Amino acid sequence: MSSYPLGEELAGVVQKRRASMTLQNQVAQLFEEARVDVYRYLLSLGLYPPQAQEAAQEVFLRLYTTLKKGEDIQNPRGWIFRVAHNLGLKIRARQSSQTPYDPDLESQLAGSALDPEQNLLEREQTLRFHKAVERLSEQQRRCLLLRLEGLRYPEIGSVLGISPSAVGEFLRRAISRLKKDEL
Amino acid sequence: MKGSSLTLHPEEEQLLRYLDGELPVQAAGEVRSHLEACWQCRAALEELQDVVSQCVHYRKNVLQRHLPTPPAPWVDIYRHFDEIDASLEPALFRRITRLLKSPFDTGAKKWALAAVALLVVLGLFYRYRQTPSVQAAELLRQAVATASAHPYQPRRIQIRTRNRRLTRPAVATQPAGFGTADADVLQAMFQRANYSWTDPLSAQSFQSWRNQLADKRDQVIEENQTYQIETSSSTSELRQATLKLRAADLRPVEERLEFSNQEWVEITEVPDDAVPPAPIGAGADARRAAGSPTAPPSETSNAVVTSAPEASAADELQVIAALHDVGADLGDPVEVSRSGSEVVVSGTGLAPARQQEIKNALGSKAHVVVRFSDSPPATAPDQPVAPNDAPAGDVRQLQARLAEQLGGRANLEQLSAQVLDSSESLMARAYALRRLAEQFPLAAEQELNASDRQLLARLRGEHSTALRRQVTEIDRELQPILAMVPGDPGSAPNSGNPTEPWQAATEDLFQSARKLDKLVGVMFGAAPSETSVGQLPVQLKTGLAQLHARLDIYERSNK
Repeated sequence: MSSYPLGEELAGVVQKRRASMTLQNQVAQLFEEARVDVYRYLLSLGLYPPQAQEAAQEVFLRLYTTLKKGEDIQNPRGWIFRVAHNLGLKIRARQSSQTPYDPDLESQLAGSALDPEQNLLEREQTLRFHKAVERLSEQQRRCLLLRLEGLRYPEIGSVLGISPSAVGEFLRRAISRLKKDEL
Repeated sequence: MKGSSLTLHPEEEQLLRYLDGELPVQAAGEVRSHLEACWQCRAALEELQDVVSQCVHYRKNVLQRHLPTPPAPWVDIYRHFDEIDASLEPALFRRITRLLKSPFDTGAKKWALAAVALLVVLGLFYRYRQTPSVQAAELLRQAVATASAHPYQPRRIQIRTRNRRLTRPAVATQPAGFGTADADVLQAMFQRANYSWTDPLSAQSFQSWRNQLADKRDQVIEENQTYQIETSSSTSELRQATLKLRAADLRPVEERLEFSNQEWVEITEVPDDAVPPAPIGAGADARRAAGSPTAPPSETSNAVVTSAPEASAADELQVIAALHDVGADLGDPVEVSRSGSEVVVSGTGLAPARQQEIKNALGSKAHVVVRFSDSPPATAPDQPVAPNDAPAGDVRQLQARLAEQLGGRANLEQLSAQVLDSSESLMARAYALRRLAEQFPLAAEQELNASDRQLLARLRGEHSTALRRQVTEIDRELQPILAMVPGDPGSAPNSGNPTEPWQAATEDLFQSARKLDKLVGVMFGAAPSETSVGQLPVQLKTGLAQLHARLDIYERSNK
């Protein structure tokens, strides 16, 4: 009689252990899929590659810790970018004496040997588009980059601490400026 | 129905939302049927889609291909998972789960033993959970997690000691301290205690300090919607630290640190509204909001100790005039404050070329310290944006009507861009004028000699002339819309008090400019509407008239 509740208790522990394994697999899979995207987003915040990589790893470990503690995260991808954004800005604020990382894509694009698949015209077009993206305001560019990572307006809003309608407006302005610059 | 969906073209933002699947079902349905009927909008949609495709192409061919790949191999994340698991489970509990790792090939006896042990552990665990140190650790853990899940917002803190007081950004952007001997003493005390001086008012710093203590006693008090965590230790240089967390969001708002040399430090958050709305003159703003109008100007500068002697208002004016010459008083994130015998010019997130330009402009000035840091202004939006989702339906209708009046959506967009730009320039001037009024109140102005007073008047004159140019520009730009709108002459301001000093007239002028800017923002969809949209054109017309009148008053007071 008395061993019945004990057995249930133990079954609970075993179940927990299995759930934990599933959780590990799920987060590991997300890590495989999204780590480079997060890393690139952190570069765009001005983090240097080693910092960005370390921060990207940290973000997934935080995700695991949070889920492990039983918190319900509706959209892990949105959560990851939100935490990455905050962590990235904190790292930048702490190392503000250093100039932010600049990959200098422009000279890379201009100077790279001509890709056999790409003709001169295409390269000029790409360069022009890149310059147009660089000319966007910081908030417009962040909205655009996050949208490119597949985040929806409310998720972008929660990353940047603004409302979904403001995200819509920033995106519209971004697209509209890119369109104008392309013409 | 069909007629209205044919004539009311959806705006570009609506089309983009439609493409992105962000429109509510009904609105999406309306756009869809409009698109079926309207070639023009279908072409506009294709243009949008074209830019979207180029963005995707850009991500693939530029960002993915040309950004540097991660410099090191990625970690074995499973190993870290196991470490996290281990840290989350109490030690005894961990031993038991290890025992149960392969439960199906162990005997019934082992099961029973493990079960009993488990119950004992659970019992102990729940009793232990209630102790203050577990409560403290748990609260700190949650506060750290909450802080990392929220957007990073720059804020300022005030640090008070027995005989010193200083205000600085919560996260110090100057790793080597703040350049004054007193601040260095404080920093050294923090360092000896292993307490973060970079970010002292944070759960993270408190937690790191607490975690490394060999012996500690905790107490957690819940009162007035705050949690107060008090940790004391006999081995640390810091004998007792008390952190107050706001119960609603676990944000650290106050902290008291008592050191073994009998010194104490109190750190409080400076309220949000004390953070200046615009760069120059932060000191004056913070001072006013902190409710200490008599405090010396050095108090709120980047790191300033009250006991230091002051630079004069004239020194500050010379610096502002030099910045003015390169347009750095018009929206660049640059602050000017007086600190001891120096005038400190600090800036955040400026491009290197701009930093150099500003340094060159200040080059010949004596007693000027320039400090630039690169931390970005975090999440500050570049346009006024709605804090929440505002119902924009009315505004859309108004804009649709305007588009019709102007002969098409493209014309409306062009006008909207022009007016928003003009309004931005107008606000830059209004802020510049307000900063002058705040940095040079009547008393400070009287300290200036005649030629400095003249210089100050010249700066004001230039800003107000430019401001008038922008108002006239907006007036002209809005003419096609406002020509038919009845004016509201009743609400024009009176002619003002002719003896009123320019400082007093500035605030009215600023408020009037801000009102106009807000109305323009609502009209063109860059800001949420707070009142009825129907009255917007009339309000805008009145706002323009009022601003003209305020400018007249200001210019009279400026003579």
